[in-house]
This record gives sequence, structure tokens and C-alpha cells, in this order.
Amino acid sequence: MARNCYELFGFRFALTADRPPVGIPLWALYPALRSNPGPCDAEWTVRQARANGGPLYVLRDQQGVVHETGDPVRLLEQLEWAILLALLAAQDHFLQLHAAGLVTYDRGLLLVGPSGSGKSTQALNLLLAGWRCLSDEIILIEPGSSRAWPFPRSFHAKAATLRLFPELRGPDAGRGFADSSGKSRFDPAVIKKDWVAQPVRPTWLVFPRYSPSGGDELTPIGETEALSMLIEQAINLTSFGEGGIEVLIRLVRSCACYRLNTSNVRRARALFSELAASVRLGEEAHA
Amino acid sequence: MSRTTAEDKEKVETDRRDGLMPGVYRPMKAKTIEQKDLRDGCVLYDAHKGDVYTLNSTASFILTYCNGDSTIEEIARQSALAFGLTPEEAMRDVISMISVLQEEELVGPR
Repeated sequence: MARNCYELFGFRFALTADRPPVGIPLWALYPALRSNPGPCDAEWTVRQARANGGPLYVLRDQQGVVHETGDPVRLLEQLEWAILLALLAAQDHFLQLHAAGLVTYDRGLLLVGPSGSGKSTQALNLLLAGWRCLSDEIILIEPGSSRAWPFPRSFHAKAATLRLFPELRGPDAGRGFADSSGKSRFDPAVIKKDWVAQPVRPTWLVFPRYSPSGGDELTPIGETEALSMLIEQAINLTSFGEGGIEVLIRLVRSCACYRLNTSNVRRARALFSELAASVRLGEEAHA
Repeated sequence: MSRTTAEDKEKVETDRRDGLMPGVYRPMKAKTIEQKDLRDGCVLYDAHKGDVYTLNSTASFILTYCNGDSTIEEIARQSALAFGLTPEEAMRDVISMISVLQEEELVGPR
């Protein structure tokens, strides 16, 4: 039996397995949250049995059996979903956004958009360019200060996404396991050991969109358009009510907002570098 | 400037029949709606339903005049002045927008 503990802002959870299922990255879901052994708020256990000549995976939490399946991919998806829901419930004092977050020189960039908009791709892109990362998928916004807090899980990336980056063609680059949407789990520590950024007040809000016809550009957008897209990607806005709208309005007003159309990771990286450099140059001139 | 088409005129006529009668109807923003202004529009929050709406600058301008005092014609006149529209275009925009706001129960009769 192996038991690993994890912690995100005081919420502790443990994963226990009698033997790690072959090819399933059970311990690689939240490597950045690994914590000391001890009591936890939530526990999940994976046991492997045999049924009808094949393996049967049984997932349990403190209440009992959550899921039984012979499909290891299904097992991992169920486990990830259960952990995600528990983590989000434990952090519901934050306004949660469907967004990736990157940081350079204490400046925060939020890439806000639905699945498939390119958040993870650009997060990988900028991590490789030396930026630190808050998350490739979920950002926690502190209502009072508008600071963005990390939600550091392993990246979910398709093999085709990883192939965009020749730097990642190593032995650890998301080989083997892929979920039902074809995404593997990729530990960003492969790129940068201390990849998780400190909480930061965002400077830029960018809404990415994959544009196969080309024409890579960052286009400034107005407050209303930015707010409209932010609202669509807010996970727990209803539990904040009107106060949540205030938080998002403050976020929009304090950030420069852009739409990113891109089909090329190199050109997108150059656009973000220019954006960051323009702020640094402005600060130097001001100093 | 786009030209008013036969389709637009038909829509205006349909909306007249449906109750958005210029000169008679004085739309008023629902009391349950909280409005927050933005630089280029506004956001509306319906506390009862928990629904959120964002309006662009034109829609936001029209909503400003949904005070229970202004008729559709008066709102269209203000809209034409503010955005440089012909009276027909402004009337079409105002009726179209107020129809949408009415469907969402964001405005109603005084």
C-alpha cells in the first residue's frame, strides 16, 4: 500500500493505492501539491482486483465505493473529477475562473477561455520562454485584492500539442497514458523545477482563440466584451451573486484586455514577450 | 450607414402590433435589476434569477432612457443624435433592443 498526501491552501487530501495501476499516472496528477504524510480532509483509495479474467479497479472515498471499472482510463478520469470537485469546494471563498495563469517579472497574465481555446498550449509556450505558471486550467481570484492564486495541477495536453515544442521531445514528455479526449498528463516540473508562481495581481487578460487561417495578433478589446467572456468562464459566480460581478469588473478595469488570434506558438510567444517588454520599458522610463 | 429594408419595416410593424407602440409605450427598467456601468457598456444583474447580462454601448444608452418617462420615439430620437443614425435606423435599433430587453424581463411597462 502506498499513500501520498497533497495540500492546497490548507485543504489536504490523500491518494492510496495497493499497487499503482500500470501506465496510469496516479501520482502525477498534482505533483506540485505533494505534502507531508498525515491526516487529511479527503481520502481516495484505488484497489485492484480481478474480475472475469481482467483487472477491476475500485475507487473509494471515505463514504464508500465511488466507482468500479475495468478501464484504467475511466478510473483516472473519475478520480480526477472527484479530486477537482473537492478542491474547488474547499476553495469556494475564491472566485474560480476557467483560465490559465502565467507570471513574468511579477506581472500576471490570465488566459481565459473554454476548453480547446489554447490555454494549455500557451501556458506551455510561455513556461518554455521562462515565465512561471499559476495553472493551465483554473485560477482562483481573491475577491478583496483581485490577486490570482495558483491551482497547480499537471497540464492536460494532447500529443499534437506537445509535438509543437521540440524542446519537449524527451523521455518524460507525456508519453503513455492518454485520457478519453486524447490528453496526457504533463508535469511542468520537467521544464522548470520551481514552475509554480506566487499569487499576483493580473496585469493582462487575454482571450485566446486558435485561428488556423493565420494572422497572429493581440487585439485590444473593451471592458464589456472582456467582462462578457469572463462571466462565461467563471465557475462559481452564482455563489458570489452581485459581489462576484464586482470582482470581475475590478479585474477587467485593472487589466489590459486583449483577444489573441494565433495559429503559431512561436509568433504567439513573440507577441507575449513584446507585451511584457512594453510594460517593463514603461516602468523603466517612469523610474 | 445601412439602408432600412422592407424586412426592417416589417419588423417595426410587427413590434408595433405586439405592443411596442411609439408614442404610447414608456419602457421602464425592472426594479430587480442592478446596473453597473462600464467604459463601453454596462452589466446587468438580476438578483432574483441570478442572471447576468452585458450590454454594449448602444444597448446601454437605450437602457438609460428606459425610465418610464421616455417614449420609444423619444429614445429613438436621442439614439439617432448620439450615434449619428437616421430616424429609421434609430427606431429599428431601439425597437429591436427593447424587444430583447422585454423578452428577458429587464424592462417592462411603467
